[in-house]
Amino acid sequence: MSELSGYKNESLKILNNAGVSIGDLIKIITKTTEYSGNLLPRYEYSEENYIVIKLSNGYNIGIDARNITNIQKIMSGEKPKFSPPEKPNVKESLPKIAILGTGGTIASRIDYKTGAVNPAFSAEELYSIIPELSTYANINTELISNIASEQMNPEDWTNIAEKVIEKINEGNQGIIIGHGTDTMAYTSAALSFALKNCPIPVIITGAQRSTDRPSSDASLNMISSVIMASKKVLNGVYLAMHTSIEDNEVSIHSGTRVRKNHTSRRDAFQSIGIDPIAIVDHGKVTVGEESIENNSKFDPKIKFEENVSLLKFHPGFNTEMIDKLIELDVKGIILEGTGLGHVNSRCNKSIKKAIDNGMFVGMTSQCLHGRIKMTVYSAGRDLLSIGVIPLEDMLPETALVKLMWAYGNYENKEIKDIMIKNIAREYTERSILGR
Amino acid sequence: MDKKNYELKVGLEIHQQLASSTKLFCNCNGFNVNGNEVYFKRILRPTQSELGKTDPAALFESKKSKQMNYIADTNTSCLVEADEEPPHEISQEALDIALTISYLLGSEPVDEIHVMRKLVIDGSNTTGFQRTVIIATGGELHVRDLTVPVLSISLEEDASRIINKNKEESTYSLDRLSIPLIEITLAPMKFKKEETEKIALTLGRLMRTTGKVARGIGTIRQDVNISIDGKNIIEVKGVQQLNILTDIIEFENQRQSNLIKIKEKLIERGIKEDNFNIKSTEITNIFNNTNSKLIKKVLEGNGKIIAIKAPKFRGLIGKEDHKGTRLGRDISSLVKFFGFGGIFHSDELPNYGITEDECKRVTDKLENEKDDGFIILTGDAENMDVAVKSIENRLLQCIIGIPAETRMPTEDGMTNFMRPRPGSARMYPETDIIPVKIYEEKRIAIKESLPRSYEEQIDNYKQNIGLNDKLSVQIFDSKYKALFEKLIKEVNIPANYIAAQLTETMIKLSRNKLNVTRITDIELGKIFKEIESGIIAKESFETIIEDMCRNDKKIDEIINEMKENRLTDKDIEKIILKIIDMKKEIIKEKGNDSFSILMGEAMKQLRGKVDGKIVSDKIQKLLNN
Repeated sequence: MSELSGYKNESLKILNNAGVSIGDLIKIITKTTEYSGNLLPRYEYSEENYIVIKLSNGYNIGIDARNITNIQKIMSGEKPKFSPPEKPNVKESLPKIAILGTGGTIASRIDYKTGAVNPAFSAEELYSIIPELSTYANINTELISNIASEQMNPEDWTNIAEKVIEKINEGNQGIIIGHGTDTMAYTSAALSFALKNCPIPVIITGAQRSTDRPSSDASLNMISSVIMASKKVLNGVYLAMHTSIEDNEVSIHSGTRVRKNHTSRRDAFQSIGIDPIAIVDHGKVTVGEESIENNSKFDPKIKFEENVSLLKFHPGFNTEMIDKLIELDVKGIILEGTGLGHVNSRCNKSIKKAIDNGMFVGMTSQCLHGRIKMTVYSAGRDLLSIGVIPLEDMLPETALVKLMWAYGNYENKEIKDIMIKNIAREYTERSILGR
Repeated sequence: MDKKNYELKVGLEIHQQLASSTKLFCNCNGFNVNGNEVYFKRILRPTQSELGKTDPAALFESKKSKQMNYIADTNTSCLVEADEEPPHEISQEALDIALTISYLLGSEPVDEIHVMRKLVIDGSNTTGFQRTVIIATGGELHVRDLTVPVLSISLEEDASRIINKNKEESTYSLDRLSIPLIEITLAPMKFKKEETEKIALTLGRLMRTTGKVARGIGTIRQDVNISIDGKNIIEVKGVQQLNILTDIIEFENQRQSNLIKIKEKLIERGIKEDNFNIKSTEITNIFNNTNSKLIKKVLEGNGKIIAIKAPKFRGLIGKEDHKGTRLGRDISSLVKFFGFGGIFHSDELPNYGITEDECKRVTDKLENEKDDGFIILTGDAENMDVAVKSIENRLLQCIIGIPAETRMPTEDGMTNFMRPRPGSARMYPETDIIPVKIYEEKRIAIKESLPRSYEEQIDNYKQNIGLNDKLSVQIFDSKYKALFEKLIKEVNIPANYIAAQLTETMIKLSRNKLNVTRITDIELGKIFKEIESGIIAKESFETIIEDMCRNDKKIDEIINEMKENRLTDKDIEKIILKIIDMKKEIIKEKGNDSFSILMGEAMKQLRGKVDGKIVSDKIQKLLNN
């Protein structure tokens, strides 16, 4: 039995010959010195010829297999035993909240022997790592998928929506979705449309800083999401992440007007054009003015048409790309134009062709902030006259998701009306001063 | 006590800050503060290990779950220090310095270095861990006839500086965070006082031969691992001054011996691990009418009083054969950690207003017998359970002997309990950084450019550069060593002068409370260049530095001023001629002997503006005319 994961060629040969496995305490003799330590699995990004061991002082080192003259096994390794923590006593009267995992880790456990960081996801584990949860809710957890969020596709949004509906039917009073931050805002937009008029709060959250570290923003984000969900103050789909780089406030953002604006900072997620819908600070929820009452029937529409494109215009843009999209039978295009909603007029021919072919072409701005207005300059007016539909101040990514959703659930002739209708707060009515 | 089985062994671990141009994992420089500060607050949470439990040391720290306040000067810290951005690649410069020092010790660098995360949750690292990497193993330090084996050499991030600490919050400054440190771990050696000091001194000097290590208070720290039974190791962290190092080792020797004596006495009195009858009970009511001011204060604040039975401990808690080594003192430190003021114990009572009668009622309540003692803990009901448990545990550890602990040094050569020692190094890979290979070309390049030894360098200063004995050692030990070596190549001024300004003058000014560390090497270089050109008089060095520190002036400003006010040759002659004219009677009288009077008068007017030598040459010349 020799699982020598990651090792290949020279290193694999030398380890096999010595009859050692991962975890064994071994002695390695090289041409110049000797080491003893526990054999670790090979890292992903390293060259084949290096063997990694953990020394008794806890440090890992890599040894060039070509320098090794001998390997001896000192002792067999023990398999790490995991003892799951006990479930705490949680009051039955607390609201029942479901926590769904999609792959972005909410909490982890570290195996110091191997250095592995394993996701911790059962309710017992979450209560153990984030004890505060037991004062706010009775949680149940389910891992729906385990993928990094940049690997997600629109069909994953459909799966998540289905799960949410299932959890609503099981009587949960709130749902938290743990999600990777890369495409979190895409998912929150998708669910905002798919689950319009949701009768309970559905809050998507995650962590910018890895959950193995004591400084991770995961716990505060999760606690705040659970507080928000358990207080039943607002129904609908929201995204919850740190407001600032400090561990105090967490912002509850509208699912359609939030964007990831920094690669790594805790406060990467920002609402654009509106304030966050609510703030959770030290256990207290403050709801802003933007919240709306919702009494309409919950009638989920959860399909998404993947074959839709988002094109960012730039100087030198190759208009043939639009022609290619027509060939690929793309259903619709969202343009990220410049300024008030413009592209180089040499694109107009191809755009007209696309529209005449039945494609929906909508315009948003790569400025992200502000409203488009295509009647101001001739470039915009020309686009309007060929049938490009202005999408006000909808964020480009949200417009893409909405178009996928529209094509997934409605007839072609309905698409335009759906796109210009304000369904899930994706448009703002007024451009507020001083923001 | 049978001392034959116990041998005091001491293992030194030296942490030295490097003087690299950037921090270890980003491009900030930790020494150049600009005064622009950003503040933010965080909470660090304990992590879980596979065992579903947290490590005792981490649990210990996390019980407090404090708020951490961070102050970040925007020149010395960036998003990396704020844990808002992944680390950049490891500094090659720092790596090269570490490899150089490794080769100087004959250590063997590892083939591929793996950066690790080492859990630290007292707040001094914003991430909750310290990045550390082992660079080399093996090697030897030669100290006269002594050879000390080197266990390992690592490169790691320095921690942030504690500004303030109280029960609820800790405040740290991030300027020091992530400055590269080299850590050299020496093998434990039998302790001999003179040798230990020499070892630390020699190792410090060896590192300084590179010219690339930081100098000044706090740039070098020693941790000492002390053990008298060879099994349980006490780590004393952060000894900054060499002269208390041996005091601390001697103190630990006594303290640990005392613990062994306590163990032996307990055994003699019939205690074994399985019949240790520890218990605790609330005794608040016993003090309802007490006259003790300390206790009354606690009761007024709605506090509680708990007594812990210490079976067979009579005479052992207060036992102090050597100052500061009594068990009671350590238990006091232990509860201070949880925010309590201290303890009372049976060996020191009655005292502090607590009467014999009150003591008897305590012993009755605890059902104490002849040789039993007790400990009293008073304070806020809130954290009491944890504190009481920790006292009970500490008493239980007395039957084992010496618990493994981390302690800290005091200014007067004693140690205080800091925290329990972690079970094993809580380290796991820093996966944001790909392991770095140390290729053959790098090894050869480093080996070929190793600095000369301490003795060779001092010799070179004396023989080739012309420094006297005192200045040679001073400049070698100074933070300006590298600058000095650069200047003597670039600037044509006597080396003794340069060395004296960089050591004696700068030290003198810093003793006058001037912040001379803010003056950069570049600024100093400019001053010497202008001294060479004559714009700045040699005598002015001190006043210029003072001006820069006190009045926040920039060197370029000062040089421009001097250039504008510079006296030409003609100006100088004019002034001197005037003086000669003024003093012509005296000159007539004394002839060449009037020189010193003229010189005195001239320097009165020209000191700081013109070099003394130039003035004296001019006077000679004009006199002779």
